Amino acid sequence: MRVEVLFPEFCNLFGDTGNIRFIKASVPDAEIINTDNRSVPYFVNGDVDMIYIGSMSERKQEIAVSRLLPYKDRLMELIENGVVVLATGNALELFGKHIKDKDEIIPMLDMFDFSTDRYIQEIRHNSMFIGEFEGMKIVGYKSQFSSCSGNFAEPFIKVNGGYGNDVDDKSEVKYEGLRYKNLFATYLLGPFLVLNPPFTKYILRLMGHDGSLAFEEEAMDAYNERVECLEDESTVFWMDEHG
Amino acid sequence: MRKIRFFIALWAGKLLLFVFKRIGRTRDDKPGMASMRLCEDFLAQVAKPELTIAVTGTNGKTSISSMVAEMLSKQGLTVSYNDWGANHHAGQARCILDTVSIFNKPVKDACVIESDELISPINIPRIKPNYMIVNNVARDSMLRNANPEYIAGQLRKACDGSPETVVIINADDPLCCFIGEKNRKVYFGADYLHTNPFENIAKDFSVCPVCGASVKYEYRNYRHIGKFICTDCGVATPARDFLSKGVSADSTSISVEEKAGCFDYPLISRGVHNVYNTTAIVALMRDLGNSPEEVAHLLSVTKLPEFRETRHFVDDVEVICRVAKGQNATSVSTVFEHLAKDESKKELIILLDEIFDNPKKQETVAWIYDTDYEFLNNDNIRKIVIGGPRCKDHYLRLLLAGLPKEKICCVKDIFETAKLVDHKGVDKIFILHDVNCVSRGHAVRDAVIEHIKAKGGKVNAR
Repeated sequence: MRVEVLFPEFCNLFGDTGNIRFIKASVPDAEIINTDNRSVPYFVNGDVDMIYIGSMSERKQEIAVSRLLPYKDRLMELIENGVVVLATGNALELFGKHIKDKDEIIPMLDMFDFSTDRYIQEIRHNSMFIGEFEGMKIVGYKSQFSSCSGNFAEPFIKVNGGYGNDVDDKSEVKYEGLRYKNLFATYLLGPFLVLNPPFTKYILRLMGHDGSLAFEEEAMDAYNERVECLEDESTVFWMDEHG
Repeated sequence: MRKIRFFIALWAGKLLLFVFKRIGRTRDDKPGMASMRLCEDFLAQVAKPELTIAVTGTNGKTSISSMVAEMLSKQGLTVSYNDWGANHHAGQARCILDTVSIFNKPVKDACVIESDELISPINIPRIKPNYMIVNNVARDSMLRNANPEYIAGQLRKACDGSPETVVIINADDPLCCFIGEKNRKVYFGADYLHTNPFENIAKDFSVCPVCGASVKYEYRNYRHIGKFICTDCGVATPARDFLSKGVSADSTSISVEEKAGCFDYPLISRGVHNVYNTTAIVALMRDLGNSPEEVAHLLSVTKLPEFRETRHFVDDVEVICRVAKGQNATSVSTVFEHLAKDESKKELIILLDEIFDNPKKQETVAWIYDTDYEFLNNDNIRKIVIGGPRCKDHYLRLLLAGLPKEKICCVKDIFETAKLVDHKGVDKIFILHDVNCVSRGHAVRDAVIEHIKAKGGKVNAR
């Protein structure tokens, strides 16, 4: 198994590196390729089973897009071929058309038909989340200065508690993230795979692994407790600065 | 109308402050809150003492501001200081309320304001302090501080809004050393301190802010703090006006080089971050015109705030209770690194959750994957007891850091943790607690001491 991590030197803001640590612990012989922002991504000329990109600062989004733009077609080709791509936190926004920041329009990769509104001088959105994907409960956190809307090829997670892609969306049925073939992009940030061992098993199986996890019992124990808490009727999903 | 509104706010605040002082609520922010609610730009209109010093940045604010306030007091100045950690609007207003009369005339000589970095673009331009110390910028709680670049941007706006303020700034911190282009800046830093810093998982400064290339460090003293250069575009550490050159062999003093020479100063606490804290204070006090001898004397009679760290000896075991800010990977990793480098045999109690009052409530644990739990995988650490509602997450994190299961205990009730440590055969027991649960941390510490005594241990007078 070969996993390429894009720009780990700055796409690592909220504990996102935990995802790759969990994969490596679960699949010790996995080859992890860390590609810095000044290098040509490995996927351009080589085969990978998975590409991962994590949360970054607002300014670094522009650097990341500028580095990936020349290889956009190759990236799309790999997605069409079923390569697993996971994007956590605001890395999701890179796949859209643009980010609107006040009067400025910042072009993104324009691979999917959605766009982002950034509101950096306003209150930061912090929330907990529980949802469902293919019968699996998905849990996590959001912490962002932006919100996106548009046409998400196939929504990733149905929201059971918390907020969807557009945090102002008041619809009864809401969705979080973008899914297209084996591309999974979500605002849920940080150690998404550690928090969601069933989903980790799912993507490991997509890559031909048997899906066994490191410290599976302990990971499932923490996960089940979190699911139970988030399914409690008294749960308030909006978080203040102390959680 | 603006003036009338201000004076109503001032008098309301002063009246509340008088009442609160009479009933013993001297550390309550409500007088400041009342003034701010009645007059939004209260901080701009209220008169300031002749000397106003703001202290901001991610880590070290409380230590630096409390020491500065104490040193100024020891010089005979009357000083107001928000020493209860209330570093937001209300706390700052409450602090300044204490420095003026009902006629808005200064009645104190100085005001030391610990200022939250997030609100600094609003408050600093209003207060317009004579000095602002920016100690560092680092990864902190994502919920409020987002990311270090965002915080550096907030501090930049604060400086831009108060160009007359002298900014005393850490030249060794590449995240903040370039802010304050319009201000007079006094740079402080440290030569290589031979601390042999560990590599951190989360690197807050990894690419050049100008060109995106990798930065090279001539040396790092801790985390991203050190002397750096971008070999592509030449951006580098600014020249330091006050440079700590070395720590004495017994870690009790530092030599600080400046234009006038090189002078020795007492170091009031060990740890590389304390070298930077002390150098920042030296830079301020020297810029204020104090002689090196006077500054050295003042430092020698100044103490760190006690709630940050307490030490007790029981049955020849040192029980150390120390703050490690939960949700703040930088703070906790720095403490973990210190524990790893401390060669004494020890057991740890870790209480880093912020929410204890409602076991059903969730809080983010993303930060623990930015935190170097790997440092705890060390032969000197015999056992780790994790307490609190999120203990299962910390347990999993420790396992992924390579710690063997038999070294870890995990319990939700934090008061149960005291029974799980064993003082026999160890030199120290550490209790690390979040900054928001100081009293709980101290209660666990007391329970540990009682537990040792119950086993026949005797309190040592040291």
